[in-house]
Amino acid sequence: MKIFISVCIFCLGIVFSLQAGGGHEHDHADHGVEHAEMHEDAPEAGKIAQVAKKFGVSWPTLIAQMINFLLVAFVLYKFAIKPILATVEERQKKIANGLQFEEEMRVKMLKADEELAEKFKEASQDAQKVLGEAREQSKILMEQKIQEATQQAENLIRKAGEATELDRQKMLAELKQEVTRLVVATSAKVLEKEMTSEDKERYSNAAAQSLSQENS
Amino acid sequence: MDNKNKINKLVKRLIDISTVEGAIDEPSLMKGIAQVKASGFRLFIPLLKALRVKLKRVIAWQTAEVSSPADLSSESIDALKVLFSRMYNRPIQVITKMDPSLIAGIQVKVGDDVYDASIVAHLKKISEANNVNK
Repeated sequence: MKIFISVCIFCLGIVFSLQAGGGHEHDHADHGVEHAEMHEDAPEAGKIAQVAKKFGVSWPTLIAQMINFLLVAFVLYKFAIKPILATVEERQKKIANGLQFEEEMRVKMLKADEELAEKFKEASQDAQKVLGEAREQSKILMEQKIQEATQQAENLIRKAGEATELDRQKMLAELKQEVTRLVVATSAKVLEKEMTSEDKERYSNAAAQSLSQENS
Repeated sequence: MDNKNKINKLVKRLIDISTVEGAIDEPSLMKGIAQVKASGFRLFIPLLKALRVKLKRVIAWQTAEVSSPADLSSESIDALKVLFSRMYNRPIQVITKMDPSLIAGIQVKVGDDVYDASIVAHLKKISEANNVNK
């Protein structure tokens, strides 16, 4: 924008300077050479006028060109340069925003990395703690299981011993019972065979007397 | 139910009037039965059946059945008679019975009571004592 304005001022400056030179030339052309001596810079002005005349520069053309130039400049500024400048400005703003966003993201990423590292450290500490507790518990559990297994084994051995003792006692009792039965049966058979009628009579009478005496 | 009660009461009455000094007096019992028959008691046959069962039990309680594998002396029989008469407080008749399975000794039954002084009983006691002490 500034450049455009500078260009416009520069162009206007050229135009005014040309106009000033041309004015002097007109005056000199109208009044003739008689007035050329009155001014010290008259020869330079005449040269400019001659150059302008030689190149076909005249005031109406110059003014028209200036107007055209201004119109073109205005149209260019309005419909080309201004949107382009707006677009450029918008792009610059976007880039600035992007850069700012990138910076923010970088800061956030750094922060997130730090948080992640911190969390990882905490998680590692927690994991170590949990692992330690688990080891301790497993050790306790193992000791408990060993104790239980030992107790169960002792119980089994004790029960087996008791069962064996019971079996032994049962066997002994059965043996004793069987021996008694055999002894009784044998005694009965021997007595029945060996006792004479007199013996039986004597024993029976003695039993009757004994019964009488016991209950008398 | 009423008939059964009547019969039981009548049986008890007949036994009571025919019991003399703790023993059943047969003439008195026959006289009582004849009177019941003469009175035209409607349940006379059931009465006789019930009376037979009751008399059997009463007689069993008045009799000592002495089993032994050999003959007993009269002294032994008298001693047993005196003993059980005194024990049951009524005259007890003694009847003897041979039982070789006892080997030796005697076994006396008075009603449901049993007094066993035989060798078999002694051996049985020994055997049971061993079984109990196991």
